[in-house]
Amino acid sequence: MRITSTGAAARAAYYDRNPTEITALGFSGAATAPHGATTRGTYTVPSGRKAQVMWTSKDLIRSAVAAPVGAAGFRNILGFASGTGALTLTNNVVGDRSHGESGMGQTFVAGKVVSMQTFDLSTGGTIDYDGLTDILEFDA
Amino acid sequence: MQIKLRAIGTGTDKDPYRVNVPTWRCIDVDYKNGWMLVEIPDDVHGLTETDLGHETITTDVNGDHYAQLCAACTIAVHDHFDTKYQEHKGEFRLEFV
Repeated sequence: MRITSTGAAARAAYYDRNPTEITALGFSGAATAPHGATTRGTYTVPSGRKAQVMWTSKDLIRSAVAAPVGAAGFRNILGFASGTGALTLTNNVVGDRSHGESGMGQTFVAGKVVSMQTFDLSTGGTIDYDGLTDILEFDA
Repeated sequence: MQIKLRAIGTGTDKDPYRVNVPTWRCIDVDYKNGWMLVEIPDDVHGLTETDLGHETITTDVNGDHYAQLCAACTIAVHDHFDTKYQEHKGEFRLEFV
C-alpha cells in the first residue's frame, strides 16, 4: 500500500488566505525641491501575516532646471536596511525622465518593513515623483 | 487618518527623514519645521470615527488633518501598534510636533 501526503492540498494558496491588497505605499510629489533622503511611505507586515511585493513602479520627471544638477533618486528599501538600486535622474532639461517598474515577488514575514525613499542632491530646480508599490498581505 | 507628525532622521541614506509609524504614506513634508503630514490607514491606527469624534480637526492648504490627539487616543493607538506589530513592540509611537 502506498501512503502519500496531501498536506499541501489541505491549505489554501497564499492568495486565498484572507488576502488584503495594500495600497498605502506610494508617493506623488509634483515640483518637489531638492532634499535629503526622505522616506515617502512605509509598510510593516503585521504579526501573524505575511506579505508579497507584487509590483513596483517609479517615475522621476524634471520639472524645473537645477543649477547645478545633482543626482535625484527614487528607490524601494526591502527588509530592515537593504535597498534596491535607486532609479536615478541626472539630466537637467525640463521633461527629462526616468522610469522603472518591476514585478518583484519577494515574500516578507511578520515585522519586516518595506519603504519608498526619494532624494535629490541638486541645487535648485524641481522634480515630479510618482511611484507605487503594490503589496498583497495574507495569513501566515 | 491624516495626521501631522514630527519628522525624525537626518536625511542620509541610513537615517532618512521619516515618521515613527509602522505603515503610512507621505502627503507633505516641512524640513525646516520638522514635520510630515501623513496618511495612516484605519486598520493600522485602530481608532474608529467615533473614537476620533472629539478630536480637533485642523484645516489648511493640505486639507483636513489632525495636528494632535488626546492622551487617551494616543495611548489607544500605541496599544494597537504593540498588538498588531508584536515584533516591534514598544517601537512605533505617534510623535507630535
